[in-house]
Amino acid sequence: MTSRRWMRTRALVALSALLALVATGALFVGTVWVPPGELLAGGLGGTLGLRASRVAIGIVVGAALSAAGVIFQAVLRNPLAEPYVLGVSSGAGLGAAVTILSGAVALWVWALPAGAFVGGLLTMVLVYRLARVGARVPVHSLLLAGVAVGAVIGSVLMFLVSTASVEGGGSLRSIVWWLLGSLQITDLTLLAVVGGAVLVGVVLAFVLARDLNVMVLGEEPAAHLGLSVERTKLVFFALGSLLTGVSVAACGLIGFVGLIVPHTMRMILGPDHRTLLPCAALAGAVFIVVADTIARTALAGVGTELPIGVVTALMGGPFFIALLRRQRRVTWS
Amino acid sequence: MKNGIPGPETSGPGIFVSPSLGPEGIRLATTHERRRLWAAAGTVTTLLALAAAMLASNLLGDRPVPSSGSRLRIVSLSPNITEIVFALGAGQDLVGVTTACDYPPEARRLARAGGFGSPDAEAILALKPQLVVGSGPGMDVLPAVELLRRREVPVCILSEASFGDLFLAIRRLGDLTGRVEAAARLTASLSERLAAVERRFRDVPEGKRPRVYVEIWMQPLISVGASSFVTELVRRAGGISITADLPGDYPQVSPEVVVARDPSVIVLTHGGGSATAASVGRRVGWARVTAVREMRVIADLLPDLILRPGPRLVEGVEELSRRLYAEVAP
Repeated sequence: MTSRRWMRTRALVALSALLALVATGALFVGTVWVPPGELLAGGLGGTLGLRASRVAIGIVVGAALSAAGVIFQAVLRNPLAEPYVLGVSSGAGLGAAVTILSGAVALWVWALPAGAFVGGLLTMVLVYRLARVGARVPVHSLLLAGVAVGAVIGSVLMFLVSTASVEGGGSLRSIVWWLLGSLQITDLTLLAVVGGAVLVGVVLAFVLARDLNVMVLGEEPAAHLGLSVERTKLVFFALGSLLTGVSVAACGLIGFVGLIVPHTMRMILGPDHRTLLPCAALAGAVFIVVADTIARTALAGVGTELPIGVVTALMGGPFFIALLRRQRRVTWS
Repeated sequence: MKNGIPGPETSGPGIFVSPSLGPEGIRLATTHERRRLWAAAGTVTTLLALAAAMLASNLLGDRPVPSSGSRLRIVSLSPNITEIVFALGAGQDLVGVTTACDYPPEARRLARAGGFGSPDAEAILALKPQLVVGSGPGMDVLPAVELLRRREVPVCILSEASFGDLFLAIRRLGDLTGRVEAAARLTASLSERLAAVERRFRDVPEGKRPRVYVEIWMQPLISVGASSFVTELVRRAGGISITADLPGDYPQVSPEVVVARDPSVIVLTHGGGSATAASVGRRVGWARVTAVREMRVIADLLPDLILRPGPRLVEGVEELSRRLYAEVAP
C-alpha cells in the first residue's frame, strides 16, 4: 500500500513539474516572436497576458476532458468511451450554432458559452432518459442512445450550417472555428468560472475514485461489494457531464484528449483510479498546453493559428487507430 | 483483342472505339468495321465541335443581351450591384434583388429572388430576366448560376477585388443598361471625391499615417488581407492597414499579431451589440495597444460603407479619412 502511494506521489510530482515546465515554456513562444525581456516588461496587459490566459484555460480544459474521459471509460466499461460519447459534443455544437446564427452572440458576451453549455446538458439528460429501462440505466443502452441522439442532432447542426449564407459568412466561420476548438478567450470571468467548476469536479471525482475501481469490475460484482450501482452511475455521469460541459462552453470541441490521455496514463500507471484520475488530469493539461503551443506557432508565417482541434486530432488520430487495432485482438464474448 | 479486350472483331452494341487509332488500324479494317470507324469519327468530331462551341462561348464571355425597346428586366444577385444599378438611374430596370439588398430604400420594394450568395434559380427564372448580374467571390460557380446559364439566361458576374473593379463594374453596367453617360459621370465624380480625400493627407509621410486594424468579425478575429478592397479603402482614406501583408481577402488573424503590430486606430465593422470600443479595451492582453490606450476604437461606422463594394464605398473612404485625421489634428 505504501509503495503504491509512493508511486502516486512520485507520478504526481513528476507530472506537476512537467506541467510547470511546459506552461512556462509556452509563455515564450507564439504567433509572434517577442524577446523575453520585452515580454516580461510588457506585463499581463500585453502579449504575456494573452498567452498566460491561454495557458491557464488550456490547463483547465485539458484536465477536465482527461478526467471526464477516465470517468466515462470506467463507468461505461468501454475503452473507446470519451467525454463526448453521450452526445455532449453534438448538443453543445447545436447550442453554439443556434446562438451564433440567431445573432445572440452579438448581444451578450456570454451567449456562446451559455448556449453550448445548455445544449450539451440538455442532450445528456435526453440520452440518460432515453437509455433508462425501469429503474436501471444499462450501459449499452446509454452508449446506443448517445450515438443515436448524437447522429440526429449532428444532422440538424449540419442543416443549420448549410443555411448560413454569404451574408452570414462570419457566422459560418464562427461555427467552424467553434467546432474545431480554440483556447482564445477574451473574458477572465469565464476563465475563473470554468476553472472553479473544473477544480470542484476533479477533486470530487478524486475523492470518489475508489468507487470507479469498484465499477470497472462490473455492475453485479460492484453491487455485491455493497456499492449502490445506479446512484454511483448517476453521480459520475453528472460529474463527467459537468467537466465536459464547461470545457466545451469555454473552448468548443477539442477531440481526442479525453480518449488518448487516460489510455496512455493507464498503460503507464495501471488501473487504480486514485492514481489514474489525478495523473490523467495533469497529463491532459500538459497535452493541451503543448498542442496549443503547436497550434499558435504552426502558421505564424501568415499571422494566424491552427484550430487546436486539428492539432489534437492529428496527434490523437494515429493513436486511436493503433488502439482500435489492439482492440481487435481482444475477443468479445 | 487478347485478354478479353474488345477489339474490331468483337461486335456489340454501343459506340465503337478502335484500340489502335494509328493508320495501320484503319488499313486493316474490313468494310463493316470501316463504317463503324466512320461512325466513331463522326461522334468524336461532333463532341469536339460541341466542346469547342462551349469553350468559345465561355471565352467570348457573356451571351449578348437581347435588346428591347422598352426597359430591361434585370435581376441583381448582390447588394452592391443593386446599388450601382440604382446609382446609374436604372433602378426601374431591376425586377428582382436579394434579401440583402437594402439600399437604396426603393430596392426593398422589389421582388426577392433568394439571398446574397444563395440565389433562388426558380424565383429568378419566374421573373423572366433578360440579364442577371452579380459580383463576389465564388458567385461564378454557384449551382444556381450554372443552372441559369444552362437555361440561356445571360448571366454577368463582375469582379470586386479593388476600386478599379468597382469602376469597371459601373462602366460595364452602364454599357449593359444603355446608360454609358451616366456611368461616365458617376465614375468621374467618384474619382474626384477620392482625389479630394487624398489631397488632405498627401503631405503626411508614410510613417506618420495612422496604423489601422480593421476587424470585420470576432470569434475568430477576421481582418482584411492583401487582396481585399477594404485594404485599399484604408489606404485611400490615409491609413495603413496593419494586416495588408496577410494572404487572402479576409484572413483569420491571431490576437498576438494584432497586439504585436500595435494599431493606433481600430475599426470595428461587424456592427451590432457586443463588440464595442469598451469591450475591445477589456480583452485580455489588449490593454497596452495604442488604439485602446488612446481610446481610438471606431465602432460606429456603417459597415455597408466599408464592406459593400458599391458607389457608397467612396463615402466610406471620406468618413474613415475624416475620423482618422480629425482626431489627430491638434
